[in-house]
Amino acid sequence: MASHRGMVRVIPRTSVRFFKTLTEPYSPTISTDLYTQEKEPRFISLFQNDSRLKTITEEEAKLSPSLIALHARLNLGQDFPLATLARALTCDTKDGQHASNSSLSQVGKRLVKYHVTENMITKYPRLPIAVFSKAVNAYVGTESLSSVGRLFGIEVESKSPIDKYLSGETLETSFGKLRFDSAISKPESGVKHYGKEGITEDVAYKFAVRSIIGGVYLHKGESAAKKFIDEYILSRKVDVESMLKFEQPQRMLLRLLRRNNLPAPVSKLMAETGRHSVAPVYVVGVFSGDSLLGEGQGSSIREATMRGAVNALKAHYLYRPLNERVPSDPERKEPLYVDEGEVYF
Amino acid sequence: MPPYNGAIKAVSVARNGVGAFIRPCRKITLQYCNVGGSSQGLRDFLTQRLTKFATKYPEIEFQVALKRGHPIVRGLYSTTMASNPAILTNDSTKLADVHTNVKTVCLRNLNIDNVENKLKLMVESSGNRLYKPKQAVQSLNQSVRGIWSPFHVDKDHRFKI
Repeated sequence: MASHRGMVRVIPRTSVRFFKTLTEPYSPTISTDLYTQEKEPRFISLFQNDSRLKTITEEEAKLSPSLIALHARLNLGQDFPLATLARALTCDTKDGQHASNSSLSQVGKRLVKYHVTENMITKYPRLPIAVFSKAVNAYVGTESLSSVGRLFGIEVESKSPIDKYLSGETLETSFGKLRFDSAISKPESGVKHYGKEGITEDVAYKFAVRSIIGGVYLHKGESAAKKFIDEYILSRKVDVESMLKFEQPQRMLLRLLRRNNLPAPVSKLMAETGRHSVAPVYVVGVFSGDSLLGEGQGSSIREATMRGAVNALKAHYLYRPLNERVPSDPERKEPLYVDEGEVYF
Repeated sequence: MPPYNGAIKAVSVARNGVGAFIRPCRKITLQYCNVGGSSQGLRDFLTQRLTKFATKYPEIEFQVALKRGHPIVRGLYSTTMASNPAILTNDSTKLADVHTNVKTVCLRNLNIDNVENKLKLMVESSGNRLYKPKQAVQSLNQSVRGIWSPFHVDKDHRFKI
């Protein structure tokens, strides 16, 4: 501590205290522990802007009729406070006075993705990985979750502050609405946008839905959150069959059968009509040994063969086991079956 | 090169009621006039029955507005993507008003019972525009019976020309 130079050098760059006020007398404190005391206040100051941020109280939230209606519509129950629901609808804004849903949304995001992934791998253990990730995304992506938010009947706060003032609306009425900084899709030429960009309405809806799920998890527990995801997100329909795409189906089927030590596929013409007419129809069966793997029909033999191979591949990749209990279900006793994956060459 | 490349993107489609059911009607505005004779039935409803009616449907926000003219009830609906014919037809001009589906009914000269019936109609409506379905059954799922194929009939029973 003899040298002043040495002291200045060890001041952590994360120190808030040093940069706080100019009038404060210069009295650097030496902290060798960068990650415990010093980092936390900096973290908060970065992400919540400043200490003026308030949390919406239960009393304030009770003054919003649309918030109470939304709470009842989602059957959230007594355990789920209205204040959390109000926070779930508050996205990060530049001039926001209230704490945003960013942290709740992170909890919800992981939960939804975990539960949907778990369900999909249990239902379709053989899906190719590209199809699998897109199928999960069909449930948890922005388009899907924003549609869920609209189905919830969440209203967007579209009135400007001056309009609200003129119509005599209080701040509390807007707690029941989705509040966010709307992104400007096309700024005027020559205008440069500084600072944080806004978000689109779809993304705001996504954050709100995720945050509500996060809130259910925090207040009502894991099983309630899973039930919520089951009821509102996994109940939606995704046609996985239409997501599969095969460039060379016959070749792929050959590789698949070879890997499983099965006889190579053989296509056989099973029925046909109108060979010499303008509208012929052929039915081709794809066999491996004696077993019929798939059947396709088309206006040429080539087309029918290709469809037959596609149907055989679909029958393999869309296999669904009888036991559809997810691994986190306490009633599932045996381990999960997961396929070795698709074949490459 | 892998023998297949990628997957086709999809978005999940809502099936309201398969998991939980969310009532599409989310807000009802009752607009009445304090002096007009045509508002008498609605005024009676507001003073005598509204509280009981609104308690029955906590998921709906009720708003009462005082405005001169004939009485009006206006329902706001959140719409499921799948059940809306405007979405099914992929008509982009209709997409704009999907999210704020509004149904408005005039309550002029209706008595208190008729007003209540009209309100029940608003509450139970899906909020979709009325349209004539082309098929008797509308479904997101394929037919469980499949399509009949002449090639899979036994050869002895096939139709011979």
